[in-house]
Amino acid sequence: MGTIVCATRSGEASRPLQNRAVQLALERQAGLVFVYVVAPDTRLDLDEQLVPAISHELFWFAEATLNIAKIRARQAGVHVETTVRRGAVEDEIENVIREYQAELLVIGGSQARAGQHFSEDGVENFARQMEANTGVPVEIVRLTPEPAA
Amino acid sequence: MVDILLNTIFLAEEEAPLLRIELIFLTIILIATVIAIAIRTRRVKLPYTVALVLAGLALSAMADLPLLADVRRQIFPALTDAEGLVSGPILEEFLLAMLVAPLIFEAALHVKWRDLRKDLLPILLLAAPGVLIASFIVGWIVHTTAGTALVLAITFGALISATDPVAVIAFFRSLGVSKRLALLVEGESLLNDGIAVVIFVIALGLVREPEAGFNFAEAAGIFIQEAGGGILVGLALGALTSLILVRIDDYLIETTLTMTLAFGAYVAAASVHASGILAVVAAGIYVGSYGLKNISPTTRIALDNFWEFLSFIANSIVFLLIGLRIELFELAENALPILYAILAILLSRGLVVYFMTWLSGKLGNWIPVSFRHIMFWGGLRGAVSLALALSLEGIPGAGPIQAMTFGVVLFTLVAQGLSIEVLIKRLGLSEIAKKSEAQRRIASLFIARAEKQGLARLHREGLVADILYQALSDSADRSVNQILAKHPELEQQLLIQIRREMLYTARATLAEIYRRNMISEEVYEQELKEVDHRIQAWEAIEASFDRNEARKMEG
Repeated sequence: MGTIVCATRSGEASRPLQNRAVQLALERQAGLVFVYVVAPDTRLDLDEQLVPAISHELFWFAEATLNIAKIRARQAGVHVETTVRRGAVEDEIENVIREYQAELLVIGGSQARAGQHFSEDGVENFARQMEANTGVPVEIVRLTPEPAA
Repeated sequence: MVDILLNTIFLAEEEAPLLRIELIFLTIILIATVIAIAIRTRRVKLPYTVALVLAGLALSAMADLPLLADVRRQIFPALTDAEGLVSGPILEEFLLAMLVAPLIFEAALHVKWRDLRKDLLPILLLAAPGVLIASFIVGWIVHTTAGTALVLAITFGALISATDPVAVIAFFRSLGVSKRLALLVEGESLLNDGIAVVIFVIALGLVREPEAGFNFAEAAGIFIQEAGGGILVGLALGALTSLILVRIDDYLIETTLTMTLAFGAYVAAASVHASGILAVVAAGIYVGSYGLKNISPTTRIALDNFWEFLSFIANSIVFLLIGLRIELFELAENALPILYAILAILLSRGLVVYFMTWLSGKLGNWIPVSFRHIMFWGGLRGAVSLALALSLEGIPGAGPIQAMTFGVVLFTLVAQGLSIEVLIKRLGLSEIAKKSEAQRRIASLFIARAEKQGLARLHREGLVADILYQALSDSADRSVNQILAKHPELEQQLLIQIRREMLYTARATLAEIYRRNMISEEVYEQELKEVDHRIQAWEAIEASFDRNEARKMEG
């Protein structure tokens, strides 16, 4: 049985992504691994004293988020595992792909327009980089774009 | 009650000057508190600042009555002249040095250099060339419509074109807009005084000595001295204070140092003929970005409380004084020039905001169209314009200019101030409205859960038949599932709320086992600090989540 890795986070955007990963796992009769990479937001003006507490709480949040995703996937009849990693997103996802010998990586696309943060270009580049580094195909789950302001 | 207070003030004036000052202060705080209570209890549905201006205006309108003229002279004796009018030059100094300086400092403390840097281009475009262009447009319109001499009209253009940091910040804090929009509006208002003061000083020089003519080198020199000097003084004092702040951990000393810096930067810059306002802005941003980065939670709470309190007092006095200084008969006498002035500032503000934000987009920093509308309509004028207008006293033609300034300030504070909230909501930019909506969804979720619990209790007590319980229970479950399916983002919010509850429970448990002598004071304090840090951590984490949401919205 192959394994699909789904890199997910929390929030509204993550639900369609997780649903699609579950659907793919059912279609391919594959196992599913949800991975959440805890990478502190470097743009935040963090108080150094709070950094350990923030890291601890983000880890708690990631575990809780993945546990919810795990329950849903199990209810759908998928064999599922979860893993929370700390560090650079690219490196950690690559590590998980290799550890689980994944056959497919599923990631979320963006609602933002090109030229903005989290742009389509950024996701495409990330996917290409992953495919080049690991040899594993990447499926991007596109989210419904919002009308421009 | 009022009689007793006034009698005490009259008596105090004769017998104890210090007691009189204390009573003046008490009177202002009482008025401000009454207004604040009226707004908090929703008896008055007005923004706080607008209510203060209107209260001041009401006092001003009643000033013709002999008793009230006396009262006004008694309430503001240090600021009133023989006729009972608030004296211009004294009020100007009082407004700028004693009230505007700490308010600007408090606002600047919250502006982080790393955030400001990202939007420095549009802010500088609006604050420098924007104000210059607006000054000339306003000057030209007022000159052609109201017949004011061109140089004097440009002087008016300069003093009225810069948006007022005190008014803008007081409004935008209460409106709850996104961090970026607030930063754009507040950043512009904090930085645009430099160029406005330079144009004002140069134009005023030409009004006083028309034969001297315009000298570009001299103008550049004044700009460097005012703007450059002010920023330099502020940065130097800010850096010096930050050096001390990072080396000590005593909330009393740290709070005192920030207060000394707020007033000290203004005085130091003014004493070398540099811009005191820009010095305070630079000092505040520097200390807020670097000096207070690693302070203890105790100092953070103490500092926030102190500056919040000081801002409340200073804001209350500023807006009451604005209302009190405006003479309604003066406005009525100059109704037509005031109307021209209002049209001029709206036209110039519109041209400058839409052109400069368009230019900013072309240069790589795009600003959403909805933000531009708020930046246009949110350009309020206040204490700084008023103070500059008051400094014109003694100059021929100053009367109508002052009346136009009062009229424009009143229009922006009341008309624009009252309508901007509606505009923000219409454009979907109110963070408060969004949070309220999210909270309503959470409330409906909790209600659905509570209904099911109530139903289960009635079933246990045998008051509801099995079949009825089953049917109603399924229905309650469905409504919970429907809410969660329709709003998947609730899951994240619920997780955060649950975690906060868990941490507060942990905190209460710690206090309980310490009270029962199950752990030592040392262990209690260590563990408490850890839990408090985790509670504080959620502020940073939520800010990060909000920032991601805001980016999606701005895209």
